[in-house]
Amino acid sequence: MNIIETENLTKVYDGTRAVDHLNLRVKRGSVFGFLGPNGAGKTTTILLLLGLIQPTEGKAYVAGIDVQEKPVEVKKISGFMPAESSPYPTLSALENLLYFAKFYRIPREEAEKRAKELLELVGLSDAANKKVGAFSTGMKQRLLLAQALINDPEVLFLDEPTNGLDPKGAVELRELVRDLKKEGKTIFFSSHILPEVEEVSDEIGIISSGKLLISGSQEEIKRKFIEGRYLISVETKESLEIKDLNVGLIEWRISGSKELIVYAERDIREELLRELSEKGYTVVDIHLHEPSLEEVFMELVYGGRKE
Amino acid sequence: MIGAIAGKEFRDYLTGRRFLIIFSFLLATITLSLIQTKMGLESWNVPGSEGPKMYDIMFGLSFYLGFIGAIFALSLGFDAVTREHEDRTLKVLMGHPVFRDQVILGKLLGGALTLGVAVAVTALITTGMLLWIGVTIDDYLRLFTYFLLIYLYLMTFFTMAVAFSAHSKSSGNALMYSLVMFLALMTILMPIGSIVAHKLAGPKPEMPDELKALQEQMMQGNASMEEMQKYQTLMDEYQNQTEKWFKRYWKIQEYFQMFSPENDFTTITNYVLNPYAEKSEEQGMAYMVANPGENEKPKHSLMESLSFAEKELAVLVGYLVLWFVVAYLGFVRAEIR
Repeated sequence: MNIIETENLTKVYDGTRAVDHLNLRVKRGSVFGFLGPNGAGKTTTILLLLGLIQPTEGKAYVAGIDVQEKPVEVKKISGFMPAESSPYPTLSALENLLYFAKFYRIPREEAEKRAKELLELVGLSDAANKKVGAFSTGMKQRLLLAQALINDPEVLFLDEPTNGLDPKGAVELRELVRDLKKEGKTIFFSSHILPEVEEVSDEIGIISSGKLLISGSQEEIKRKFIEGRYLISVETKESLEIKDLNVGLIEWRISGSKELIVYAERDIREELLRELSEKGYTVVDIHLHEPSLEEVFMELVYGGRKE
Repeated sequence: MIGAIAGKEFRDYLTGRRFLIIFSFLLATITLSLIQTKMGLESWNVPGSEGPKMYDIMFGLSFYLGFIGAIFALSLGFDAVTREHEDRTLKVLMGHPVFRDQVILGKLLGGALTLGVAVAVTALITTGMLLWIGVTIDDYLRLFTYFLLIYLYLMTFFTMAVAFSAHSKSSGNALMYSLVMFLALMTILMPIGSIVAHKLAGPKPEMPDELKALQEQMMQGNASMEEMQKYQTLMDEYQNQTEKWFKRYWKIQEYFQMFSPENDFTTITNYVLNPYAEKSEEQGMAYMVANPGENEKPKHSLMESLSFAEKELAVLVGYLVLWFVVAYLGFVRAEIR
């Protein structure tokens, strides 16, 4: 069941489409990695999903709630860790969490207990009473994560959460994301760093220039990406001297003298083996090339291909 | 929600360095002004005559309260919204279940509470320092009303600064706009009013040539009875026209001055502090009668005094509402990016 759904969600800022007819589906209890280069529309999408800005067109639903109609209801069941933000510098870490707890009408005692647990969780117990103004960027990021969890949300929106974290902090955050998923929370994880999205996400959406280029599980994405554009490489024992191949391929070329590179609309490995054998070649190795997520990303975002 | 936001703002203000510095400066100025006024009045006082009245002392103080108080109010409000952008806290706050109008109302309420505390402290110190002159019940009532009016006056400048903050990209810009508007309202309205009044009231009536000739004759002492009667008739007519022109001029001037909160505050203060002040029909401004005798009762009740300044009060309230709406709409309609 999907917990986040959008229908042609669009946001235009001063004539620029920051988000362009976005159709997203995020499964309940999953970690959704929202991947895209800087300025792709990731933050704008999150702001739209939380009702912090109004869409120019389209609809967004979180847990079945129409975000545009009931943004506060959406925020009650969500947690948000915004990018390039800070907790209140004039308050201490604990005071920040107690302040935000007031918006959920959490009784003072319960709020204090929850705030202390969260500070423990993000490793800020020792700095609980220290003013946030004196915090390092990493400490602020940790506190931002804690404040996003103050209401024990169903959906957690993390916008570039590892920005400003040291490597150890980034690893801890990813571990925490996995723990939160185990608790049944849905995590919308936005980032421009591919390996971290790859590491924590069940499903991935790649966005560029406001458009969703591809989405699905990592396997689905790779499958979708290579669909109609299979890359097969064949290595033969003998040097290749081929004039034509009759197996329905898009294009082929010989690399070196013994390697045949083939682009086909489908997986034609069996036909290739047969044809090469008929032509008297001994095939040493044949394999279908599976792209890495990085290759998919680079090709989709910077190579101009779209879903 | 509004209470939570107001509480945080209130705390931020009271513990902020800016509040402490400017408010301390305001209190120091008031205290010094009171001491100076007291010493001045004592040195000029003729032995045996009655002592200074409350309003004699408060008039000197009122200028400082009006000017430094307004700067103090601006200093509280100019970064009320822009600070959230600059500290990058707005998205964090708005990510929680809170409506935008609750945020801006909370901020305004937090500032209002802070100004309330500041005015209350000022009132206590001032009232305490006035005890030496023997303050009457009527004086207390008037002082209380006066500080309520100061609160209203300061709130107009606070909401104005918040309005600019809600429409500005940086605190620096908001401060600049607030200061320029403050100075414009204080200084520019008077000369503009004078220029417009001259234009709208038309040319000032000139003495007719015939009247001038008759006046010459009269001065030389060779005017006949008939000429003297004619001179009187023409002079009455001329004076009547001049009086009408001045009334027109002052009326237009008054309308312009009414748009200056500082002028409104001074006018209201004059009526509220001094029970003997009453409105001059000719000039529409506070007009003070000669100092009353020691045991003479106040000429006007507090309500009467307030009624003299009803237009100015309405303008101050109008400003408060206007800036409030501008601040509210500015924040509620702003895009968060």
